[in-house]
Amino acid sequence: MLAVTLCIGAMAAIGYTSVSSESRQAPEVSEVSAHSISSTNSASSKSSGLSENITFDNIPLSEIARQLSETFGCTVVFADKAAEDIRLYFTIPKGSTAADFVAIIDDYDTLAANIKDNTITIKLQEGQQ
Amino acid sequence: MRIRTLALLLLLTAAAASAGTRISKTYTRRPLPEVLVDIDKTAPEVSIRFIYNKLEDYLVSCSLHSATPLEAVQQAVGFYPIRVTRKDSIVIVEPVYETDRKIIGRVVNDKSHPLEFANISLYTADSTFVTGGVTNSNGDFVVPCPHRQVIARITFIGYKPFDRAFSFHNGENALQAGTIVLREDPQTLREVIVEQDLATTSAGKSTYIPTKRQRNAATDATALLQHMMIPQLRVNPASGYVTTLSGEAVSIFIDHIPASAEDLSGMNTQDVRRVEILDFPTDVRFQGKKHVVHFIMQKYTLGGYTKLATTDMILADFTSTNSVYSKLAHKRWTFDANITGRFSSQSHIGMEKTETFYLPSQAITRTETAHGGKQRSERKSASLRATYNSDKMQLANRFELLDEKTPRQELYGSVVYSPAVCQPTCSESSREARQLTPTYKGDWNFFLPNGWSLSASPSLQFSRNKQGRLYKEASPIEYNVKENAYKAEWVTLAGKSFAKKHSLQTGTYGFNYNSSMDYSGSTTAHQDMDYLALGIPVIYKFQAQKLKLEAQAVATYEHNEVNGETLSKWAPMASLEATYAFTPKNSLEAELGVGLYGANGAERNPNIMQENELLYYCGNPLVENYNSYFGRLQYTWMPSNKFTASALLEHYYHRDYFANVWNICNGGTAILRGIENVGDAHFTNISASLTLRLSDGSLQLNASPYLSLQDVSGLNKMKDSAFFLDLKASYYIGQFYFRGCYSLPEKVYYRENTSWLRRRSVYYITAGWGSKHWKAKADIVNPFRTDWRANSSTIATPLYSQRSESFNSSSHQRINLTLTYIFNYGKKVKQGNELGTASGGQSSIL
Repeated sequence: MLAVTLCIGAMAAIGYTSVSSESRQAPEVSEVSAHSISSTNSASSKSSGLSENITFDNIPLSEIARQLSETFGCTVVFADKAAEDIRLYFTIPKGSTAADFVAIIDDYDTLAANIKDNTITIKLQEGQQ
Repeated sequence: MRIRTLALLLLLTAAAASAGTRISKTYTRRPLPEVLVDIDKTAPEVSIRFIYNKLEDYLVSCSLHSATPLEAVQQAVGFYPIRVTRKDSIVIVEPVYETDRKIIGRVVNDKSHPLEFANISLYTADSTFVTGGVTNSNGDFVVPCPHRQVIARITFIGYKPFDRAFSFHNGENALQAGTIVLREDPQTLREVIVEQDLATTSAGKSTYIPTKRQRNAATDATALLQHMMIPQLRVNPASGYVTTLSGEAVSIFIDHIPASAEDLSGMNTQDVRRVEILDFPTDVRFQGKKHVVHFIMQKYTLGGYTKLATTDMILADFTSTNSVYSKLAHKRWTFDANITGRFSSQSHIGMEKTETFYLPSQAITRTETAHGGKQRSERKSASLRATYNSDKMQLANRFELLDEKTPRQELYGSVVYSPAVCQPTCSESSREARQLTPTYKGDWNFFLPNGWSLSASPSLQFSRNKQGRLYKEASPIEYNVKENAYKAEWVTLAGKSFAKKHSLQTGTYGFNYNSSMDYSGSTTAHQDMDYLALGIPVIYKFQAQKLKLEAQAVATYEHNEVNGETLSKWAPMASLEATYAFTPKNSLEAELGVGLYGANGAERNPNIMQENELLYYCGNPLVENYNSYFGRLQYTWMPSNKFTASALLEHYYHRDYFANVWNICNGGTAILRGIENVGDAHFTNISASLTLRLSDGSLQLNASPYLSLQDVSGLNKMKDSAFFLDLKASYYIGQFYFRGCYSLPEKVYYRENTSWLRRRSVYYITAGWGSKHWKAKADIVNPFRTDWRANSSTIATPLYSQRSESFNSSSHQRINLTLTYIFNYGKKVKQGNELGTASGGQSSIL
């Protein structure tokens, strides 16, 4: 597995409730296809969770991972590149932590996720590759 | 203060939960993700999750009318191969198949009208079936396709099949089949027969769908079970009592709320959607019951109905049962009210008995001959239940009041002793009894986040009993007893499901019975009794499509106090159950377990009472509960709607069980019947039930043979066997039906009474007619039997033997007439579960 780590500066908790596919911004870093996304952010949301509900509507998982890795101050690693392009719809509730995000992703039959040492690993379920 | 706080909490929770969204919208050829997002935004109480890439090709055409968010999602998904998984408030929508490749198209007829429910089947080149799909109301279909090359066959009733080959190129994931036009085929239209599977089985659950003619014909729930001839159940045609094939009690639930057999008599059978037979159900709402019959009813939101019912027995004395039942539903609330009255007047009752007392000095035979008897009894009950239903909870609270009395029971006879130790005398026995019982019963089910669920079922019952008996023989024996009793029962179960297939449950089972009795007359005594039984279960369940496992361990505690004498004991219980469903047509169930049998209040009553000149009886507060080890194997086979069958083999080993024993008393002049732990017993039961449906279900035949083998050691040593056979046939013609039943004489061993009971054979013919509002039936029972002999029983022990025969109307020729009428009101009627008559309080009166 190729792992490229990108460091993104600290960022406040995400301040919007919905991101649509039409309005979503291009990633701030050019290496969007990289297999690992991380942040050194240690904002309050890391311990206390999200400050409000966030709905991801038709957003690629790579972008979701980028947003939330900044918020939670963790690293997201994609074990399967194909997983990055999966566009999801879900709402992550206020107060959620990185572990809750992992649980949401893991609930999809298509995806599998786990967290260890502040690193979230996302991959496709067996048979989906 | 605590009660007030709890009530406030419940009200707040109910108010919070009642704010559910109802969705009424129409979608026409809209992409599924768009519809799901719309539902998610409309209903804040749910959170929908899905993957865009997987669902974008699915087009939705549907109309939602006051649908809950979950119903809205399910209707939007329709017959597409898409799984909807609910996890608390989260709804996950994902395709069933893992592949990304799919074939997309639309099916119309030659007039360009979309064909709904057309079948699309994909085959490989060697004709192996791959996957399939069904068109929606707009004719659209999306069929996942794991193979690169397939042949699609599109079929629809009355149309010529359409075949087409598809090939996926590298990197290609979606093939557009375009619009496929099917041409009519009048020849096939005449040939097509559509048949729904009326019975299916899976691990731990068998599902039966009643036919329209069965629902139309049945006057109540147990009558419906009789009409359905479910092979795993035995329904007593006379009493309506429902058991498993081996005679074990079943718990009956209606839409997850417990209902007694009596409650079911008021059901509107037109509303039964399906009947589930559940063994060790995983859902905590079934309160850990072992065998469950679950009626799934049509739900309704606004409206109600009233049902009037009368059942009268004529030719053999007179019994009349009349009831009025009303149901009213408004949004999430349902109210049920019921009043039932039963009046009975019998003038052919009595018992003849020949007893032999093997006293130290000599054997004395006492022969009691019946000369006549009369009895009048009344039973009146009223009940009210309020049920609240939401996605998060189901709360049912029921209040009942039962007034039951036997104002008069008189028996006349004569008694002869041989040798003549007493002069021949005429005997006269009179008895009167009254019981007044108010009861509260709650059934509260909560569905909590993160896979947690909670079920609590408390009940509280007070009972005031009065009974008087006067027996005149050589000298009068009289007793009067007054009793105040209360009974509290509860089941609480908390469950947590994890990793989709596993669940863990724990909670408490509790039973507390307290009774205070005063005896006067020939015997003066006072008894205070307090009995407490507690169980703490830990249950692990695994439920997959084909395999179900359950391991249960229960720690039981029992405390019994009778007039200051106490007995407390902890005991373990355990069971292991596994069911494997080979296909939806057959399943095998195995069970191993250890159970505990405890003595009831009357069996622990230490007061010595006199039955006749030579016989006394009492209970035993120190009798030990006993363990029962059992194994069971049951196979169910449903090859088609024409034939269903079930076969069962089970073995019980009762270790040092308690039973009646007879000892010399009063210095060798009389016999005392008591209760002691007497030895071991082995019982083996082999039974089967086979149901055959011919002429499109117009003719139904059922045979249920049963063989039991008994091997008892110890004080009541005995080895014997008994065979029983039940034959039934039903024939339906239009709105009429006819049914015949013949049951062989039955021999049953009651190990705790040390007696063999012999039931006489039963044969009857039923003629009935049913419509949506009116139902009528006449049971002509034992039409050629003019005597009044009923059951007989025998006891044979070293110190005492007895042969008795009772007389009443149970085996006499008679006609039971039943008439019911239902009228509906309200705008939108969907009828549901029923409330019925109250159940009597428990009593320790011997």
